[in-house]
Amino acid sequence: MTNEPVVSMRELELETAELLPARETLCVSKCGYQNHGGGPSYSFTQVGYGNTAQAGLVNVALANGSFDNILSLGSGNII
Amino acid sequence: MTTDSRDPAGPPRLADGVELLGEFSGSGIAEPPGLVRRADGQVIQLSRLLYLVTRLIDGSRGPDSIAALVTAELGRSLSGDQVSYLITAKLAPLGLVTDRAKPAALPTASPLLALRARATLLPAAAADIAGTFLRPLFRWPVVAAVIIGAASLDYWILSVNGLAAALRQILGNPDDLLVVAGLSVVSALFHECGHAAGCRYGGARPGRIGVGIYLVWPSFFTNVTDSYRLSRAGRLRTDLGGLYFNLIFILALAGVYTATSWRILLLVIVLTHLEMLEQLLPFVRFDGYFILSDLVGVPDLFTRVVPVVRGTLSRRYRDPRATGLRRCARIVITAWVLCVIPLLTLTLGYLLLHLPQADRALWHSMTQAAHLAAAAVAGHQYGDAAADAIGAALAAVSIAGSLYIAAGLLRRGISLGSRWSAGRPARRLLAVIAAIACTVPLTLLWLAQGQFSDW
Repeated sequence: MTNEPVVSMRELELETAELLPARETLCVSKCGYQNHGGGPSYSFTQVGYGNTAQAGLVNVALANGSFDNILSLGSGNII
Repeated sequence: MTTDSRDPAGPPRLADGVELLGEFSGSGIAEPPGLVRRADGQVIQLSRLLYLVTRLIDGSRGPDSIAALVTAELGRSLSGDQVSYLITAKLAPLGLVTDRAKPAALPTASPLLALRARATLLPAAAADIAGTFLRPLFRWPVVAAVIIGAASLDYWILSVNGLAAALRQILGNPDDLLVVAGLSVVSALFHECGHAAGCRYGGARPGRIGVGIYLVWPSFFTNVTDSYRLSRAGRLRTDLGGLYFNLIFILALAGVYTATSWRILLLVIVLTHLEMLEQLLPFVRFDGYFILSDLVGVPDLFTRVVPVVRGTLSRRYRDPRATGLRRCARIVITAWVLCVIPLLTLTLGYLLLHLPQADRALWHSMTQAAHLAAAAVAGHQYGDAAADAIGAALAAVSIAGSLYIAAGLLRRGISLGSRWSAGRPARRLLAVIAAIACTVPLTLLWLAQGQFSDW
């Protein structure tokens, strides 16, 4: 006869097993590029959505001869 | 032999290839769980009692014998019938034991916001060799030298050379673009080697290094699933290995810049810094997510979202995934959930509201870049052609990614609605009404804004 407290069926039902996802470290490459045909103009989107229409957190764009949009925070659109 | 004669199935046995990985170190769960891995590589986290039972299954002990040993270890009384219940109801459906009611298809994790469309660049054996070769870079003197060197470089760029000077690199020449794009790719691959080396340094074996699509972006990845078995420090080293290797890459570029004065390298150094900052975001599965996950000791934070929200809304709701957490882990995860829900809702909501419009812009960008690439090839301007081709490919990947996300949301919504309303006609009706209430206004909005026109 043991004196240990008994494990109840309710406790057994709550015992959990969790399928863990594969640990996959990511390095996202978001080098974007735009050429408007009239002359070269390139952009590098570090964080954003796509490489033209962007809704990201940080947008870096380097345009030929213009630095108006070197580093913009928030939602941007460089179409 | 301690077989219980009353069990017609005989003593339970672990399925072939099941490996016990031990207790999950530094766990944020009050009763530290254990980890097992199936032959197919699926890692499963078991509650303490389930892990104790699994550990004692050896093909010779029957349920009564296992119950006696568990009782002694747990300090609570467990019967043979209860062990049989755990084996049949909990372990067998996961494919961890043989000769029982084996499921037709083994369940596998289907994580939210995971990488898709994976392709292998470096198989596991090669990644292991690369990790072993680069492992000495994690020795403390080397780490200290790299951190001091990177801090000095940043001071020089920010205070002496000036950030603007680094950014004042006009990429008017497609060859420059290709150099920057090429170095970004090398930097990303080296980043992944950092994870593999960190994993190897801790004693775990890295899996393959490859490329896939994450959300809407192409992404390199390293499978470091084996690092689950490491201590918390070992897992954090694996998580931070990529950023650490970014610092090494930056120092190498600075060395080349010192020798050549090629200013475009300063631009790459600044862009790599921005990439590193991005990697620290904890809201999607970047390095910051794994760092936060390992700091609180909870492997998959996304699985905690629903239990935490429901537990916050109703005190009667008790899910062990929320209630079983240590206080500190629960506070951090609740704060994370409170941030991640509005952030992902806004991001995905924005994507859905503007999906046709965004894809139209990407489509135009892609076709224009493709035409320009063809024209550049015809004019023997191969640098231009390559740059245009990269632009077209990235736009195509973004379109595919956005459609995949939309389809995934739709699929999950239907699956959730079906499960919630299964066998309950009133709920099914409500689910259909909710689906119509979501899709009809969205479609009308797209039509009213002319998002389907001008393709």
